[in-house]
Amino acid sequence: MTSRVLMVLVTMVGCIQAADKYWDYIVVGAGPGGLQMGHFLQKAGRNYVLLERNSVVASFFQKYPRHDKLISINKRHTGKKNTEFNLRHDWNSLLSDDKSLLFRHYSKLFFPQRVQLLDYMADYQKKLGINVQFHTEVSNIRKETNATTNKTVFLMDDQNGNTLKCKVLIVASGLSKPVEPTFEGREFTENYSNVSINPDDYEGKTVVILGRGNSAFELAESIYGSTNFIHMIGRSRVRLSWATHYVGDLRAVNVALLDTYQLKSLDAVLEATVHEEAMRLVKVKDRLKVVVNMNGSEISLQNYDHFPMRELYDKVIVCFGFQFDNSIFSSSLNITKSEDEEDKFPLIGYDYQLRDVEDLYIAGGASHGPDYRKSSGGFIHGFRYTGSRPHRMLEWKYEGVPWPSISILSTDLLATIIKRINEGSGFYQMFGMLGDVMAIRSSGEEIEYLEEVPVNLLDRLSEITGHSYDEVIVLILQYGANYSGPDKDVFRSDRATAQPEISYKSNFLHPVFFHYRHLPTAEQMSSKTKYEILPRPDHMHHIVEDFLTLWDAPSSHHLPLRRYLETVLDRDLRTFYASDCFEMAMLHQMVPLYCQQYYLSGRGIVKAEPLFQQS
Amino acid sequence: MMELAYAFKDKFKFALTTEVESIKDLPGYKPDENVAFWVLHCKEGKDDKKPCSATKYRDSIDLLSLARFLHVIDVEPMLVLPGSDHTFYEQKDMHVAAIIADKDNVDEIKLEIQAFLSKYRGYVGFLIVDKTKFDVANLGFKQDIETSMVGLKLRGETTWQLMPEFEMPEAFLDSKLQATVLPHREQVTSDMTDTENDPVQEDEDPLQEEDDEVAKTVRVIHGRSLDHTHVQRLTEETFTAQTQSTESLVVMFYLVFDVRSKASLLSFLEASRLLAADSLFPLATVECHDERDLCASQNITSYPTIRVFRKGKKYFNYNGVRGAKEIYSFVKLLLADAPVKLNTFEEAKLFLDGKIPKGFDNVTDVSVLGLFKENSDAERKAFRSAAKKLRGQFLLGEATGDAAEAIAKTIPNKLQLPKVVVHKRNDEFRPIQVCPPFTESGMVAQCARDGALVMFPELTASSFPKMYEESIPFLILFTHGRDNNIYRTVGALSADVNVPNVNYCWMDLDAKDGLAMKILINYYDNQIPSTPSLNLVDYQKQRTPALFTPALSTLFKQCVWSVTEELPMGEWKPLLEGYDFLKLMDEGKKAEDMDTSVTNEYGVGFDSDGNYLEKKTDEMSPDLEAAEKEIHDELLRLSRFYPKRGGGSHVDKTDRVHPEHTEL
Repeated sequence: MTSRVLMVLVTMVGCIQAADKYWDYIVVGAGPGGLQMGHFLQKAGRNYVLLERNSVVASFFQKYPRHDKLISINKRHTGKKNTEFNLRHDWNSLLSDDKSLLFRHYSKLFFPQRVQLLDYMADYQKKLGINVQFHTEVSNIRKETNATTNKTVFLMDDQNGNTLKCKVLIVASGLSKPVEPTFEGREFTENYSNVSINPDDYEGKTVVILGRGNSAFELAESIYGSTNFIHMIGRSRVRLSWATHYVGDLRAVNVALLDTYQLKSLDAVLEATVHEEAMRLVKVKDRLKVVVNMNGSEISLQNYDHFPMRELYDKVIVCFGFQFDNSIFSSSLNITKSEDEEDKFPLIGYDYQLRDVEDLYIAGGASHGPDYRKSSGGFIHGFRYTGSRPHRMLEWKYEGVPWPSISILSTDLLATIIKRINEGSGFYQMFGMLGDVMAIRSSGEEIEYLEEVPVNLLDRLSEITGHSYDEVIVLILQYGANYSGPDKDVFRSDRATAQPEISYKSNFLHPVFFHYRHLPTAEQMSSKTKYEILPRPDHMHHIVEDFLTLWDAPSSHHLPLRRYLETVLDRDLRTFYASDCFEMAMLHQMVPLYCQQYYLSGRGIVKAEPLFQQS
Repeated sequence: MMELAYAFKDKFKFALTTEVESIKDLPGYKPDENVAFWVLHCKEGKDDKKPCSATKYRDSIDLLSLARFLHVIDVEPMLVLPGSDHTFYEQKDMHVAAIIADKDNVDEIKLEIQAFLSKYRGYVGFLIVDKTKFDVANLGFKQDIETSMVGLKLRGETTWQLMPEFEMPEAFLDSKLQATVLPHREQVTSDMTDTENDPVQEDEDPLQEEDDEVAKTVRVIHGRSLDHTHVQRLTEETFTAQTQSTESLVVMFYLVFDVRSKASLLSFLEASRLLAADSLFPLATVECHDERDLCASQNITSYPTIRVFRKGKKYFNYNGVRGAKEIYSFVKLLLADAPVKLNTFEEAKLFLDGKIPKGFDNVTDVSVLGLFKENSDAERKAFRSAAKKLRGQFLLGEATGDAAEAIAKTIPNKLQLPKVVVHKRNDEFRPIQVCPPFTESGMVAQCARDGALVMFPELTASSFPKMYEESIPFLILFTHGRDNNIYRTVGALSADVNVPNVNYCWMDLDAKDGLAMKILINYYDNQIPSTPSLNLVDYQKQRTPALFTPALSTLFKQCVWSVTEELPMGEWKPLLEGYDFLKLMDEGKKAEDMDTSVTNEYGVGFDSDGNYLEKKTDEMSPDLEAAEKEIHDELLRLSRFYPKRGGGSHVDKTDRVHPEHTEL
């Protein structure tokens, strides 16, 4: 009897577990974005799981990039030991405290192979003990509100009919769905995702590649030695990454076809709208004819006898890139479609929360929407930060753990900033998006320092960090506005600025400071102009760009910065020898801040003569 | 000058003249000078027929320098060694010239010097050294220095400059002194606004001119390697092993970019050399840009941080002065036995006198001695624990049994053991402090700290902060040295428990840095008061304690005294505003806007009203215009390629709608 009851109980418990699994945090997808978030959840000791539909982590890289070569640089040496600084030039590693988990240990190639990244990601998950449940494909994500407690919970189904629940949902499924063409005749095209990568299949063929991104050029480069010629059609101008400072634009590693175009070796690049009714493909025997319409279908360009695409093609290959797959969401969530270019990214705010659904966040490559074409959030070296800094927001919002900060004396601020601008990697990679915030306390005598806060949420600073602030200095790194573009020579002789007094004209990445006596309002944040990263501050400072990105020069870098901080704090921030502090103390009621904070507490400096190393 | 005349009215007669005729015979007269100042030594001149010997003043004409000059003008200008104090002139902050003699030519040399002596009075003191009777090594000369050699040690310096061969003493002195027309010490103006020209800095932009004294002095080490011979440079890889394998390691965590780090590092390295001379090598550095993770794991947020590790564990941070001597003393005290075991009466006695352990007499003036009976275990334990707590601050010694009893008998008031006594060799007014009975280490530590305070200290940059912390007014005696009655009177008062609670201290008007005089003059609204002077100053709030106790009232009758009125606030605002980039950007934008509004609306070549901008023929001279027309006509005549004005085009209409090939 007893055993029977027990058996029933066991069965019941089993049923409940199978049907109703709950975690505080569910992360959908165990790619780089999901793993990064997983690491931070693990480190914070949270109740979480990563759900992965495949049997390995980072499964996207089992197939892509099709030609094996990653274009994120693997810079193994910088001549520096500083680990934080080195992350400025390491584009493949995820963040962790484990020094063996740096990508440079996994490949010697500057442009590594995708399998090497797969190895790295697998180790990252295992070594850090990130909780991943494989073979779990979720769908029908929906939200439910408990009528009595008024608390909401996310529900989703796996392929076995189980229901999985969580309080906070983080979707890190990446951009996994190839963007398909919509024009007439699209059935005659092939797609980057399944096109042959064997050059032999292109022997003596005439090829059109639709698309203007790195995947299009990657394909072109691999086959252009076999083809008759390649025409590349894209909507936008060729935007070279080195000119735009945007790593998603065309990278030098892929530009070979531009060479053969400009040298008139048959390959060519031209601009045209390639969607909808703007063009169509017509089968002419076993070849393809491209028909382009201008302004809808009014005038057909085919009427011109020297129409550039008047020859027939053997292959038309679509390389439109990838987009976010939102079929996993139930329609009950009422998710608005993004108005973004090519509809690639889900519509999220600067807090990475889905605009329409509270407690639902996007991490990883799909979180690039807010900084699309502005910063690096679409790439590992960017979203490893935007995946972790929002984690700090989650910690405050859901766990009551405030954003980490340190309190320092104002006379220590200059050194603290100089250290940060010479090593900080988060605001270096996510330039213009993340910034250090210095909250001014005790009428300018103390500073609370927060690293790498999403600066677009400045108006909500107290709300996202858990500290209440009003007067702040924000430090970001930024490129000069309006540096590149049509008719602009990025190698012009005056491309860089050397004088501190006109440092605001700096074009390359350099530190910029914004001082606000009061935090900007939501209205001020939303009424920024195109080139403004932050609203107009009360005081602004630029440190002049540096050829070495090493801001160690006493006169050109540090002195103007000190004067700026002095202006902001309305204090004399100079350092004095003990003897000078003593004299000032004897002759005044007050002494300069440094004497007050250091000399008077017994930590004065006595002048000593340098003895240099004998060479 | 009037102030000077007033202040020194008892010592000198002052005269002012605009008559060149009356001074042109004085030594050093230059016709092109606007202001000159002489002292005539008429009292000393015995011969009525000769004019008084005269000394020309050659320093800068300011109150402080003049006052200092007048203070020393009447000191004995020449001393003979042996028989005098060889540091006499240095103490007076004068340049010192030493002339080496032997027993045969002392008198001859004296006469020789006498001939030009008066010229240098108030600047240079002459030491005639009879090397047959006086050991020249005491002055820092080599034993084999030649007779008749002249050495000059400039004010504030420590080394002698020797007269080159074949030069005359007077010429040698003049050439060397010429370079010191301005006083040699660091001049710091009261509001610290002077920005000397930095030779390295050629920028004219004042915003780029360094006005931070410390930053300026550490510029020289920018990009250069300092001598780290006696400090270990730790890395993340070596840190744990090194700290664990060393009993005590003092580590400076610093930042290579930081001014304060650099300045402190210089002191730290100098301390390492001092310690190395004692065969001690307990210093190490960690540079926090290279060793970022190590510094992060140590939670370093202020640069530099000096941290003591004992057997690999963080012990405490050194929060003292970042000076070589201070760090040296701290480390010596840190490494000393805590406590030092003293087995005999003699040892204990030597300990109190600072002779045991050896090499500590220049490290500390305080000995804390625990005296125990054989059976006072509890107290001994508390004392030993206190000794560990006070590591780096004090030297503690422990004596037991007979030795302890014997020492106790030498101390007034016959002590009952166990007892702790604090002996201050630098406190002439209360050298011994006996601690109250104690049971635990905290009480011992407290007694050591309180007891070590000097009753009547000299007020210096290093003694000031501790007194300032007390938050009570200062009673400062400004006096010439301590060999006078008023010094002894105030000192004795300070040790009296019934006097008002203020910081009793003194400043030496004869000190080399001249600071005491400068401050005193400042307290008297830039007038020189008679000295000694007693001043009550409250640096924090203006409070006047009840000072008129009978003892103090008597004291005040003996000297000039005053309550220093409210000191200037000293707001310490920024010296210069930073660059106003917002304004520059606004201006730049405005200019740009104007530019584009012209081109955007009407295109290039039109003005803002849309009028076609006539070719710049206006500016062309008629000659040039004629020349151009000639060329134009010539070309027209010669060439069919030169376009005719208003001529028809050959361009076909279909060609003109040719779509731009790259922009469909």
